[in-house]
Amino acid sequence: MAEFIISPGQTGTLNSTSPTTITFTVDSKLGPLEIVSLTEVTMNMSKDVFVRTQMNYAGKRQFPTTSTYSLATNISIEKDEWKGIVADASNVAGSASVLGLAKLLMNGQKVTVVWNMGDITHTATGYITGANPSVTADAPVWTTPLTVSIDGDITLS
Amino acid sequence: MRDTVIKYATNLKSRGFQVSQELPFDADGNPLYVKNPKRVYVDQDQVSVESEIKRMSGNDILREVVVVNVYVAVDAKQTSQETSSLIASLTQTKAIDSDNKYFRRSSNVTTEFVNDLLVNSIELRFERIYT
Repeated sequence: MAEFIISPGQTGTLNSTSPTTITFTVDSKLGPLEIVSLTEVTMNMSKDVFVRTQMNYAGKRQFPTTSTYSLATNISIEKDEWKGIVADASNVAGSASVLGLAKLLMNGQKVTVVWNMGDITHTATGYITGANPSVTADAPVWTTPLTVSIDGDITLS
Repeated sequence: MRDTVIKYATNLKSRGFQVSQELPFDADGNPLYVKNPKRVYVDQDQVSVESEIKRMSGNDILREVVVVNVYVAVDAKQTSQETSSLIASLTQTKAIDSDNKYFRRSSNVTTEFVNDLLVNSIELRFERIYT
């Protein structure tokens, strides 16, 4: 078991038998797409603010408004993850695992995305909005950043 | 890879040279290729595997490097066209193993004088990526 820091003074446990993955699901269809080739995950959470000047305050007033969330990852591309797999009993047509990442992006398919931070599960819906696959002669392995733009809120459980 | 190199060297049928199946071990202070000039010896594969891309799942992408050393000693007083041709052929890593699983191949030749012999050491290097 490896430990990771949640916040100063607190520690959590990264379950080594259940590695960090991101799972995409389309309309709850059987056959979620589990991304096991993650090399990096970054959550981006930003809050917009309305700024107002008030004469009885020296400092500007800040009022939080809407939020923008996204998930930035890096993956080394696996064929089945990128292209999808053939539909079968456990992976129905139109599911994320059958479509694969490329089609989920190209189709603008809305997906439910689930990712874990130790014992904390994050669930949201969104769109895969960015990928830049690249390869070099020095290391002939296709890698790509993968951006997921979150539509609405993130649920923590 | 050692077997592949031996098979390739044997098929060269270089005039005046033989290819040994024996390892170039040290006998009485002298490696076999010094005791037996004009005989090609191929050492055991030296293999190293390291993580090329670390993944959070632990299922890393690995880079394997296989190094094979080949030795052949010849008379130091005079070089021959056959020797040059043999050494040149033994550096052709693409011809030795054309298997596409290796994405990088390289070779390096070094020489040293041992008494009245010129010992040619050829390092053959093959790299591949796998999970």
